This record gives sequence, structure tokens and C-alpha cells, in this order.
Amino acid sequence: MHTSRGGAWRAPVRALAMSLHVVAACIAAYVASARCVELASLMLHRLGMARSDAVMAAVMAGFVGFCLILLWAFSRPTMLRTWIGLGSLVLVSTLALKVIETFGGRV
Amino acid sequence: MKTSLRTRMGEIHTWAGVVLGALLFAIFWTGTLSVFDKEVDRWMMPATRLTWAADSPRPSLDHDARPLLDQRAPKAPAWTIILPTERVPFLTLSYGTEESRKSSREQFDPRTMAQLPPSQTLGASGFLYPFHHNLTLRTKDIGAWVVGIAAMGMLCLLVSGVIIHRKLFAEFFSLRLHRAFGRSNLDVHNVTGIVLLPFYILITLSGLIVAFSIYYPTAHEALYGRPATSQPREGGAPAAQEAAAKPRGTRSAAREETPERAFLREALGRVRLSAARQPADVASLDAIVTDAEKQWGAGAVYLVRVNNPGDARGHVLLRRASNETVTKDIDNLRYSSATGKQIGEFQASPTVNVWNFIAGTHYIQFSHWLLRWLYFLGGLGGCVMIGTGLFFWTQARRRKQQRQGHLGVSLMDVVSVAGVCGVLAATCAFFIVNQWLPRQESFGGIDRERWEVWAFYAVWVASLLHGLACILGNKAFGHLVAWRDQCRAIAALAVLAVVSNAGVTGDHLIRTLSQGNWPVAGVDLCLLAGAVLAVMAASRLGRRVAEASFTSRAQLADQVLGKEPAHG
Repeated sequence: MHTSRGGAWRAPVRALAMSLHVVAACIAAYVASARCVELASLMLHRLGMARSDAVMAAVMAGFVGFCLILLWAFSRPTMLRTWIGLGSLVLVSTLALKVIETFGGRV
Repeated sequence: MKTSLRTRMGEIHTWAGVVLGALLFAIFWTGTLSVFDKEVDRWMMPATRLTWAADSPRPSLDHDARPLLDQRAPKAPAWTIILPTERVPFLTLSYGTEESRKSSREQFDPRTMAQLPPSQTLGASGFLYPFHHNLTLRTKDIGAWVVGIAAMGMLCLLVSGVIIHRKLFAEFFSLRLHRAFGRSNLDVHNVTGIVLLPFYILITLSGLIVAFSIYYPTAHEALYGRPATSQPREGGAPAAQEAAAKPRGTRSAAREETPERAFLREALGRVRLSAARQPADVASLDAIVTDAEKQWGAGAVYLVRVNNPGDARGHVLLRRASNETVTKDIDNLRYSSATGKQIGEFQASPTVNVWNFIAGTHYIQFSHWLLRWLYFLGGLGGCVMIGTGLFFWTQARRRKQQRQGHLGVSLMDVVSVAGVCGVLAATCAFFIVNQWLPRQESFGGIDRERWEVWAFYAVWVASLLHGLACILGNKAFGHLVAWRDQCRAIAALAVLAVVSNAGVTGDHLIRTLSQGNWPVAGVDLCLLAGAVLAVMAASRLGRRVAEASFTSRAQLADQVLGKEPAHG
């Protein structure tokens, strides 16, 4: 870390930026996990589970998934990779959900 | 900046621990006490210190409970009768009134049907247990979300904690209590962390899963449809107008089924039936319960709820006790209150019963004293793990930044001491004030039960201020003074709580032990054991304070004499 240049204001700014990064990444990971729960419930229902059971099974797995997404995101070597990973996960899951809901029809 | 996975996991572990440690300690501590919430309730509610054997015949609902309900709440929208059990040895009647939506609860001795005087306390099940899952901040589920975030952080801490320890098995066997303070502190953290790891994962994950409807409120929407948000929002505040237009005291007859309600009905058997608005008699409740026991087995009914009693479409809902299984049973049977005939039943599907099993491992409603004690010890182990983890963080930082007197480390010391000692002392104060205040409804315009809660928070804040004063007043070893003094305070408060119980209620340990009054004796003995542990911790910290003050005095003398300091 570079601490040679700049005044004392650099440390608090960096801490604030880091906090924002962590909070935003947690929210993104949550959104991704919530989308994945809904996707999983749709898939389980397609595979023949009753719809109430599909939701319950998906939601129980969802918390484990959320934890894994968080750890995976924060263990990327750089911040940029964290955001590429999380961003694509949110995007893909949201799009997949939209596509299924629009074109998939009800089962 | 490339770093190894272990380093990054170490960072996650450090920072999640620093941010969430004190909160996690409070949640683990109140959760540990909630394992014995009913027993602490008996301790805090002396009027309910009755005994009820599990196989006693149940009181008659028609002859004992019905007259009381008819007399008190003939027009209530719902009656609830909770039958006595071994851990809750009284009959509870609760009913909503037309004036207030908050239902009143009354307790009766199941043998004589004499009403028990109200205890005017929230007790463990009304304060410590809600604090455990929502910090008593119920508005918009804020507290539940904070607890949920802490729990998810805990899961990440557990997984990252395993990854950062390269010598998992070696550390399992290295508990060097006799070694230097810092080494033994880290050993305690590692050993309690590794030995109880499966328990922590189970309890944290199940805690999240039981509250899925808060944390994933939209999970059902992909299959049940999105709620129509735009439609009912037209023209001002229609919901309020609608509610005002409805006749008071009756539920709306034709309420549209929302996607959420459809899901709750299909998955969890939560049904709402509307009233017919035609008067009808209530059939024999005893006959209904006897019929249900033919299906479920004797003594399996623990709750009887009559919705819309006295209405032609009123119904009786029976809930099944879960004391014989780990699974928290959500099955129910429904009878018509007018005819006494069965009109429906709910049996959870195998998938939902997986959820019920997970919920059961967290709610611990089964009767098994040994297992209950193991849960209690597991919870205490979690408290020790979190406390030693917090202590290690500031200790490791202090070694690096000893001379700079870093403000962040000092503040973290304050948070640790208030987060660990503060909440323990606050709990003791909650117990003491509960015994001291006479059992009347309010003092100075504030409900008696609020005074107890205020005492809890006041002592917690006092602990924070004391820690702040010690640590800012003495940069070198103020944190040790704060820990030592607060450990002494905990010991004194715990003994005072036991003495208060003996003095106020007369149920001292000799009497409770000889009578076999285990709930009260158990709480007293735990408080005394806690006091002993606190004294031991205080004496150990006291030795460290003496060493530190000797060293700093020697350094000061060296500086005055112009020598090099003896200790680098």
C-alpha cells in the first residue's frame, strides 16, 4: 500500500471507500442469491416438485449459496475481479429469471 | 496486489470479526439463555413456580376453560388455550378484545383453576428471546435484518476460520492454558472454535433458515406470481379507508388471496377462514381434543385456538406438541366450532418437514434435559470463542502499535469489554431489578416490565462508559483494569441476584434443592457458577494489571533517571 504520498486525509478516505466496496458487494451478493433462489424454485418445480416444496427447498439451499457467493466474491485477488464476478452473477440470474417468466409460461 | 487465498480469508475473518464480534456475542449470549427460557421465566415469575408432571390428566376445557372465556371474552375474534406442560406448568388463556388488538393473556393454576397474579415482567421468553432474534427492534424487521446480517457474517467467519488454520488437527490438541496469557487466549479461541464447529454451523444456518420469510421475502414469487402492487394503490390511502369502512371486530369476509398467502397455506398450512356472521353455539372442546388425540396420540394436543367463537363458520384449530421429536411439528387439525366435526387437516410434506427438522434443531422444543444442557454448553462455548476472538484482535494490534497509542485499538478495547462483560452484567441487572420491584403494573407512569428492560440497557451503557473512562485514562493497561473491574462487577451482581431471589421469594437454594424445584435452583446455581468463573478471571486479570503497572513504573523511573528502558 502507498502511504508515502498525500496527507493524513488519505487514510479515512481509503477506509470509507473500502467500507462502501464491502457493503455494495454484500448487497450485490444478496441480490444474486435471491435471484438464484427464485431460479432454483422454478427449476425444481419443472423437475416435478410441488410448487410449495420447490420454494422451501430452494430457500433452504439459498442461505448456503449466499455464504458461498460472499466468500467467493471476497476471495477474488482484486476488487475489479470481485465486481466482474458479482456483476455477471447478478446480470445472468436476473436475465434468466426474466426470460423464463416472459417466455417460459406457467407450469 | 496478489495475495494467497489464506491471506484473503484471514482478512475476511479479521474484519468480519471486528465489525460483528460484539453483536454476535450478544446474540449468542441471549440465545444461550433462551435454551432455558422457560426455566428463567419461572425464576423471574415467582407466582408461576408450580409443578406439572408430563403425564398429568389435562384440565377440562369445557368445565374449566370455557366458563372463564365466556365470561371474559364472549365476543373476542379468537380464543387461545395453551395446555400446561412440564416446562410451562400453567394453563394460559388468551383472547383479543374488540378495543385493543393486543391480546390479553391470563394464567391459571391447572389444578385449582385459580388465576395466577400477573407477573408484570417480560421474563426470558418476552425479552431475552426476542432480543436474540430481533434485538427487540420490530419496526420493519430492522432488528431481524441486523441479526440476519450478523448470522451470515458468522457463517463466513466459521468457513474462513477453518481455511486460515493450516494445522487444524494440531491446534485441536494444543490448549496451553498455563502458557503466557496471549498464547492461551488464542488456544482457547481455536479449541472452542474447532471442537464446536459443527454446532456453530448448525445453529447459525438453522437460525437463518427458520426466518426465511424475512430474509428471502420474494422467494415464492417466481412460482406464485408477483403481488399486484399498482392496483390497490389508486386514490389516496385505500387500505386505511377500507379498514375504516369495515365493521369493527369482524374480519373481512371476502379477502382476496395474495400469492404470499397461497404459499403459506400450501407450504405451512396457515389458513384463515372468514366468519359467517350467524351466531352459533360452540361445541364441546373436550370432545374435539379427544377426537384429535385418537389421531395423534394421547397428550399430543398442546394448543387449542377457536377462531370466531360463537359464529356458524367459526373453527377450532389444534396444534400438535413437538416434545417427542426433534422436528418442530406444524401439523394441525381443524374442526367446526359449531358442529364439532372435523373440517380439515394439514400435514406437512416431506420437504417442508426437512425445514421443520431444521427449525426444531434451533427451537429445541423437544423434552430431553441432557440434550438441552449440551445446547446450553455449546452456546457458552460460542460465547467464549467470540469473546477470546475479540480479545485476540486488540492484543495482536497492541503489540504492533504499543508506542503509538492507536485510537482505533483503544476504541475496539472499549467495544470488546462492553460487548462481553457489559451484556453479562446487564443480564444480571435485569434479573436483580426483576426481583426487587414489587409486582405492580407500573411505577412513575412506566410499565414495570419496561423498568427491567431499562435497567438492562442502563447497565450496558454504564459498562461502555466505564470501559471508555478506564481505557482513555490509562493508555498502557487501562483495558486490563476495565476487564478486571467488570469481571468483579459481574461476580457481585450474579451473587446479588441469587441473594435477591432468596430474600424476595423465600426460595433459597436449600429449599429449592430439597424440594426438587430444578428450574429455580438451576438458574441460581448457574448464576453462582458464573460468579466463580468471573472471580477467577478477575484474579488472573488482576495479576496482569499488577505486572503491567510494575513494568510501567519501572519504565517511568528509568526515563526519569535517563536510562534506556529495560523492556523493548
